[in-house]
Amino acid sequence: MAPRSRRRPLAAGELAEAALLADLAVVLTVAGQIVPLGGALIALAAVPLAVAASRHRLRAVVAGSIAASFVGFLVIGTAALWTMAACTVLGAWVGASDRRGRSHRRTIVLGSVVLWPPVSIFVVGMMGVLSSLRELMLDQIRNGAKGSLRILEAAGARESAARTEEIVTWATDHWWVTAPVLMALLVPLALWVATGLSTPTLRRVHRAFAPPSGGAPATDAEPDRAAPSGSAPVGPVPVELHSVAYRFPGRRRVALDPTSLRLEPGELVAVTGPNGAGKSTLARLVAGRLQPSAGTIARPGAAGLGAVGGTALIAQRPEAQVLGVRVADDVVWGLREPETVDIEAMLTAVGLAGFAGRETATLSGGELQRLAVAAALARRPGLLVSDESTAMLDHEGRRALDDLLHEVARGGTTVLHVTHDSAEAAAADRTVSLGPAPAAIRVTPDGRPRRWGAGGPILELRGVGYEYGPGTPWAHRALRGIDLVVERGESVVVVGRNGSGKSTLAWIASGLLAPTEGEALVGGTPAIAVVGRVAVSFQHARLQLLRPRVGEEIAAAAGIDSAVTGRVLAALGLDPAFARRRVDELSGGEARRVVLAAALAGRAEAIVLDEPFAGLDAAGRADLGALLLTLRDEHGVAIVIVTHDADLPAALVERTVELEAGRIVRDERAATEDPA
Amino acid sequence: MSGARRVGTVTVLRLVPGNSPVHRLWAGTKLLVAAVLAVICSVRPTWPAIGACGAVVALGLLVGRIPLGAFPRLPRWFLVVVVAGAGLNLLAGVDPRVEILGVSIAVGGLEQWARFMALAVVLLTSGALVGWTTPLGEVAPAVRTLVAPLRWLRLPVDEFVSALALALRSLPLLAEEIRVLTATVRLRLRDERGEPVARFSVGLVLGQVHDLLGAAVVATLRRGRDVAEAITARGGLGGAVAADAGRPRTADALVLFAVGALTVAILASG
Repeated sequence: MAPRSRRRPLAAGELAEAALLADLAVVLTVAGQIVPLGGALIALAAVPLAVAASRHRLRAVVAGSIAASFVGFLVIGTAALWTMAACTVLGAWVGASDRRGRSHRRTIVLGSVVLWPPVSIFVVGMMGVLSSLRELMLDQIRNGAKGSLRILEAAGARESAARTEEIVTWATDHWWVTAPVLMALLVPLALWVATGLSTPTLRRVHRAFAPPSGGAPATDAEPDRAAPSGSAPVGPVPVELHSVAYRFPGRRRVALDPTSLRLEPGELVAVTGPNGAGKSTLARLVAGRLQPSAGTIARPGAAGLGAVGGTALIAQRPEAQVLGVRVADDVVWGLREPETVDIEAMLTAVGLAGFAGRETATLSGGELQRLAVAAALARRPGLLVSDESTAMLDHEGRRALDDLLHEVARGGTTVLHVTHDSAEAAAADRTVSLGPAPAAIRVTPDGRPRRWGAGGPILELRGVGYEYGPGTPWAHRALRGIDLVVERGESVVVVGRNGSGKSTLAWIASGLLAPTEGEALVGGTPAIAVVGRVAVSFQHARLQLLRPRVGEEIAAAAGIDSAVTGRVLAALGLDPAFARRRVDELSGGEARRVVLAAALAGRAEAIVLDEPFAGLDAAGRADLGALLLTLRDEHGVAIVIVTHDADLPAALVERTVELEAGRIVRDERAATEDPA
Repeated sequence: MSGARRVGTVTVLRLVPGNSPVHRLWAGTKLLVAAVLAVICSVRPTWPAIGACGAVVALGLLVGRIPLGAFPRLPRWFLVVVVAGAGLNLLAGVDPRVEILGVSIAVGGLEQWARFMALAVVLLTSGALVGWTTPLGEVAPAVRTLVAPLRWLRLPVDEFVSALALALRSLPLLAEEIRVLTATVRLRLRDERGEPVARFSVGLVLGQVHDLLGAAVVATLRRGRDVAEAITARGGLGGAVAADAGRPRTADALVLFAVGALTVAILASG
C-alpha cells in the first residue's frame, strides 16, 4: 500500500465515497427522527461512517461528515449536528480499528479508554458553556422523575420513591460528576453496538470492493488534480493507437485485445461489439483515463481529460454523471474559470434552452445525456468520447443524442462513439468492430414452451388514482381513473414517457403503495395486504439483492430453503453453479435474472418489471426475453413490463397499454396472435 | 398506513415554489440567520429569547408565504409524548401554583415543559424555513463565500465545499435508494406459514438490518465510484461546483443588521 500522507489533498475517489457515505448516515438519522421507534435507526448511522473510515483517511471522513451534517441541519436542525458528531466519532474509531485488524474486544476496550476522556470533557464543557440550556434539560429530567415517582407513591411505594428522588436530585445537581460517569457507561455500550452492527457490512464491503484509492495501483490512479492546467500542453487529437492492449491489474483475462486505430480531427468514429469485448476499455484508453498494458498511444499533447480543449467523456448511465444540483451548475462543474462560459448558449446548442435553473433531479434520461454534452462543449473539447451514452435512452432520445453527436463532429471536435445500435454505427464516418465476447450465461429453454390458457384475473386495478403529497405545496397527481385487468399467463407492456405515472402504477400493482382512489386487487384481495404475491423487478435491480451470494439471495427473497435454489435455476434454464456467484459482481442483466428466479421460487403469480431491458445488449435482451417467456408460458406467471422502450422482444408484446399524464390512452392487443 | 412507508418519500429539502422577498434573499443570509437563531436559543433558552427567535421565524414563514401544508404532519406517537411529558411535569409539583376552580395546581413544571417544546419547534422550523425558500443549488456557493475566511487558518475549505455540493446533490438519490431497499424488504417479509405479512413495522426492518445495511452501503459505494469517475471526467476537484448564485444585496444587509441587533439585545438583557 502506498504511504498515506495526511497532508496530501483528497482525491476525487476519497472525497466522493466519504461524502456519500456520510450522506447515507444523514438519511438514516433523518429517517430515525421521522419514523416511530426510529431512534434505533440512528444507531445504524455509525455504520456508513465506519466503512468510510476503514477505507479512507480521517481527513476524508471529517470533510464528508461535516458536509453531511450541514445537509442534516437543513432538514432537522441542530439535532442532526449532535447525532452526526457522535456517529462520526464512533464510526471513525470502529473503521480505523477494522483497518488495523483489531479484534472486537480490543476495539471496544481500547476505544473506551481512548474516547472516554475527550468525550467527557466535551460533554461537561458544552454543559458548562450552555448553562441555561443545561438547566432546562436537567429540569426536564427532575420533573419527569418526580412525576413518575408521584405515580409510584400513589401505588404505595412511598419509601423507595423518596430514596430515588434523592438520588435523581443529587445526580442532576452534580451533573459534572454524573455526566462523565454516564459517559463511562455509554461509550463502551455505543462502541459495542457500533462494532456489532458494522462488522458484517465491513466484511461484505471488503469482499466486494478492491482497496480504495490510497492503495490503488499506479496505472489506475487518479490523474492528479494539476493535470488539466499542468505542464504538458493539451492536445488530444489526432490520436494514434498502435497495437494497444489492456489487462486490469491483478486480473487474468485481457480486457482489450491488441487494437490499432487512428482518429483525425472532426471525424465521428463508431465502436461496436458485444458486451465484454472491451469497448469501454478502448474508450477509456483513448480518453487518457487508462494507460495501455501493451502497445503505444501517440497524441500531439496530453489527453487533458476534463480540461479546456482536451478530452470530454460521456458515460452510459445518465444519472451517474450529473454533479450539479441545477442544470447550470452541472454545465460549469469542475471548470477553473466558470465565469467565461456562456451557459445559456451551451444549453441552446444541445436543445435545452431555458433549462438553466431546473434541478437536475427533474430531468429525463435523454435530457441528462444532452446536458452531459453541454458540459462537454463548455470545455471546447478536441475529442469527445461517448461510452454507450445512448444505451439507456428510449428510441427518440437515442436519435436526438446521435444527431447531436454528429453536429458536435461537424463543429470540428473528434467524436468516438461506443454503441450497440447498428443504425448509429452505420451513420458514423467509420466503424471499428471489436472481437467476440466471452461466453455468457445462456438461457437454454428445456422442452417446448407450452402456452397457458387464460387463467382468470390475477391483477385488477379499478378506478385507481394516486396523488403524491396531497395537501402539501408539492402535491402532484400521478395517476387517475386507471382500469386494468391482467390475467394469469398474460403479458402486458405499459408504455409511456417520463412522468406519465408508469412507476407509480408498478408500485401500486405490487401493493407497495396504497392507491389514493379506487382499489388495487391481487387475486381478489387488496394488493396492500398481500405484498410479495406480486413480485417486482425494480429498474435498479442490484439494489434488490440483499444477500452476498446468488443462492442465499434467492432463498431469502423467496422464503425457501437454500438447498433447492439449484433446482429453481435449472427450471429457468440457468446454470445451477450460478448460485455460488457473488451478487456484488453481477452485471445488471444477471441481477435481473436473479430477481426473476426468486420470483418463481417464491411462487409469485405476477411480476411487475420496471425498465427490464435498459442497458442490455442484443444477447442480454434475448436471454432476458426468453426467461420472461418461460415464466409466462411454462409457469403461468402474469407479466407486466413498464417501459419507455419501443423495441421489446415481439413475443412479449401481446398487449400494449399506453399511459399519458396518468391516464390510459390506449389498450390494445397485438393484431396477429402467433399460433404456437 | 405506517410511517415507515414514507422513509425517503418524506418531502425533505424541497423548495416551496414562489418568489417572495424571503426566496429572493441570498442563501448565505438565510443560513447565517438560522445559525444565529440556533445559537441564541441554545445559549438563552428563556421565554423572551425563544419568543424573539420564534417571531423572526414566523415573520419568515409569513413573508415567504409558506402554506401550512408544507409542515410535516406530526405522527400520533409524537402527540402522546407531548401529553405524557406535560402530565409528568404537572405531577412533579414545581412552583408556582395556581388555583383553578378551587384546585391548586403546580404549573412550574408545565412552564418548563412548554418552554422546552417551544425551543424544539423554533430550532426545527428555522432550518426548514431555509430549505423551503432556498434552491439547493444556491447553498454550496453561498457556503463557499461564508467559510472563505477559514482559508486564512489553512483549513481545506474547497474540499469541504466540494463535499457539501456532492452531499446536497446525492441526498435525493440516496433517499430513493433507501425507498427501494425498504420496498425490497417488504416484498420478502413472510410470516411462519410463508404467507406475506400485511403489517409493516420498523421492527421487521430491523430484523433484516444486516442485509439492508450491507446493500445500502454497497450501493452507496458504487454510486461514489460513479461520482468519482464523473469528477475525473470534469478534470478533477478544485474547480467550480455551481454556477453563479447571486450575492448579498441591500435587503440582505438589512436583515442581517436587524437580526444582529436582536441578538445583541437578547444577549445583553441577560
